[in-house]
Amino acid sequence: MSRRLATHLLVGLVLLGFYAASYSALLQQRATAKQVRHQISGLWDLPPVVLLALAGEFKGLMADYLTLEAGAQLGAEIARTPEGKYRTVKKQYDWPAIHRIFMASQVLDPSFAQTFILAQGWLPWDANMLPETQEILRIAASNRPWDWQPLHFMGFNSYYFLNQPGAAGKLFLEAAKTPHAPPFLPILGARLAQRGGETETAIIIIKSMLADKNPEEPGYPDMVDRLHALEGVQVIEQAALRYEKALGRKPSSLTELSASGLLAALPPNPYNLDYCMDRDGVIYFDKPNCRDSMFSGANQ
Amino acid sequence: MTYPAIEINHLRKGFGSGRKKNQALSNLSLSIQPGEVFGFLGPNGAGKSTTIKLLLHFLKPDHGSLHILGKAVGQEEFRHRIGYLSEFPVFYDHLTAGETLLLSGRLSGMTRQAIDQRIPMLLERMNLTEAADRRVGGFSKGMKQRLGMANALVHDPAVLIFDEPMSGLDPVGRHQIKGLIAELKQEGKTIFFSSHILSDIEALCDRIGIIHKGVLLYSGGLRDFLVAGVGLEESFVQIIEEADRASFA
Amino acid sequence: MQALRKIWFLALSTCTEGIRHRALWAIVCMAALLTMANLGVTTLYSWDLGKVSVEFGLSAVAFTGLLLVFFLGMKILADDLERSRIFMLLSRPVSIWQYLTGKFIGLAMILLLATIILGLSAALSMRYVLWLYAAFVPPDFSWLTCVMALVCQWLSLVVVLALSVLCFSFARQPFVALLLAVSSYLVGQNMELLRRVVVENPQAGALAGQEQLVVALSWIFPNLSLFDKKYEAAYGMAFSGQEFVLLCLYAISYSALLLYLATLLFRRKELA
Repeated sequence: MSRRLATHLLVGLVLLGFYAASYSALLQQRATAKQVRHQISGLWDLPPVVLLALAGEFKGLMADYLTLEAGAQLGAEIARTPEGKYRTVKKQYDWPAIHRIFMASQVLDPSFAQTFILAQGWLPWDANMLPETQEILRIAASNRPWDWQPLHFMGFNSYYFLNQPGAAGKLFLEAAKTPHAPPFLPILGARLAQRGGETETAIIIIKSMLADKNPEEPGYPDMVDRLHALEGVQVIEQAALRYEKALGRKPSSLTELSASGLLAALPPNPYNLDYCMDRDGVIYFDKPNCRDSMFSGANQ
Repeated sequence: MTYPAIEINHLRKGFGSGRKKNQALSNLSLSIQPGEVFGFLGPNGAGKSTTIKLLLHFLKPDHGSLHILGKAVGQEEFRHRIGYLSEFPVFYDHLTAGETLLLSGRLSGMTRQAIDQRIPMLLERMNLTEAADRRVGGFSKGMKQRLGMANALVHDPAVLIFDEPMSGLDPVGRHQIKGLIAELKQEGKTIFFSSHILSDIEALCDRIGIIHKGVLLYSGGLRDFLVAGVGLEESFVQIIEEADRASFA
Repeated sequence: MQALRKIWFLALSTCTEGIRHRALWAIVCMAALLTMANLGVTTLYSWDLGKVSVEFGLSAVAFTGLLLVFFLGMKILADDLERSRIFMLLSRPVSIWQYLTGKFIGLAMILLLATIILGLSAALSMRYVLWLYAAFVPPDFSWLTCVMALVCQWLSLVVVLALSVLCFSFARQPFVALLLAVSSYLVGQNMELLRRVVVENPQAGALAGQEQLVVALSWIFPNLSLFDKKYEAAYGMAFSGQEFVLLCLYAISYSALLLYLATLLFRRKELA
């Protein structure tokens, strides 16, 4: 081997070794630091105006990237056991940062479905960030007039987390107004609205929806039945109110209400079931045994 | 009324400002008659190229006027009647020789028919027929110089302005260009060319102008300039040295 | 008529230069590959795949167009001056405005060609994605809206090109011209945002109370965000024919004004 070649090889090896050692040390240091660090930071920490300015005409692309970033932050973390198998590690999430990622993505593209769907899938649950989720969904709803999902999710959250069937019903009914909304929405919405004391609102919304619908459309007859049922409930509720005004207490049953003369006759029920009043005074059109212990309570 | 082919009156041009101002031309006045071959000589940096660029309106004079064929430079259109060859001809590398001449001809207002007749003739005259479809980017210095000459002649102008036309050419190339200038002279063209190769000036020019440090030292017949028994080179060096002595005094 | 013919010949020559330039084809090939990569990128998402695909395709066109304007376009202009090629043209009976207009139109033709190639490439990948994931096609998706968005993208690039020609006409160095052009582009992209922030928010920091200044600036700098129709194309939101025509008129009038200013400034330049 010539002297020149040997020199080149030696220099090359030394440089390679130096590179390998320094990079390896760096990777080791980062691996250690990663275990301690839970907070994440990035573009999403910038103020909205700065983010918009930075994105320029590529707002959509940047929003797409941010939702991918959110996806990367979420999900399970896998670690290798000494035996060579894999186990899931309980990951610690930086929920405020993840929320900021969603918000940043929405600032750039308020109509992107992936943002609000991912947010709905994570934030109200482990993160316990329901008001923040509702805000994300509200923004999505106002920027996706063709999509029933944001309002539907908001309704679900109102019912499941906030225990507000009335509000949930109104949201479902709003969602039902969007084109191509599934036919179950107005039906479910009406039920929940009535449960939450929003019978009149539910009737108004369903009437307005029926006015825009073609009788041949799927779901039309079901909506008509639901409307008649709600109207029947409304008649009974108004009679119960008159009873309470006159006697200073709520009627204890439909029988008592009918006997008082304030309710001429029970309205027809399109579902061929008996109306029922539970112990809290809530009227049901679909639970004739509502006074039984299993079914009592306004939030059933 | 016949105008001089080229007329320069009291031309002044400086570059920079304040203390750093470099006076490239001082009160230059020249007149070249139609059909003349005028040699414009001077050492490097004398102001020859600056004068030519002012003639072509690439630069604007600080003072003075320039006329070509009676048209005021910068105010009236004259460029369809002149042909220009720069010291280092530069072309669009992506165009072929034929395409270059076609573009120049069209911009000079020639019809397609006229251009189609003229291009093969010019390429043959310049020994560029085989390179007609080759991109200029691959041309040698000599080929570019010859293409530049063809480019200057494509629209058959009355006045030709050449800036160091023999610069960088080998002896064969120089011989060719000299022959071409002689032919153009026979055709009655007015030729204004700058050079510092005195043998070429001696062979081709009717009249000469000598410029040094922006000042015109001599303008007139070549024969009148030559002192008896002294060649052009010696006469030229003498006048330059005298000017230098006068300026130091 | 002669003037228009000269402009056309110059434009054709510039377009030919661009087409024969290797850099153009490298950029276009890279961008075409990017739009095909659209297929892979889209699969990273679970919802609104149609919007991701459309936006990615149109963004590739936008990004490539900007590369062409700032690097190829400005290089072509700068080379004319730096390498003295401009003398070959200006020694002919060609005026400054004919030269600049011819160059501008030639470069706009290059941009149009690139936009068409990339638009077709993006459309192919979009078509495939929308066919594969039919459930995720926005309800009112329209190819017409996509084509209009593509035309608006080209118009935006033409305006940026006119800005570049203006910067080139007065800047001493090509690099300075490039910096000015890029800065003007960034200002133009955010002009609408700035105007909204200042007008709607009286506490807008250093610009508080400067609504009139900002409104004046919004008339001076081009409002490039108006041409950005990627959102509309991605979500199938139609924008009116009237708006489209007005955008075309705005682009043409603003570019013409910039070219006129460029001519006035270029005339004062010492070319040698």
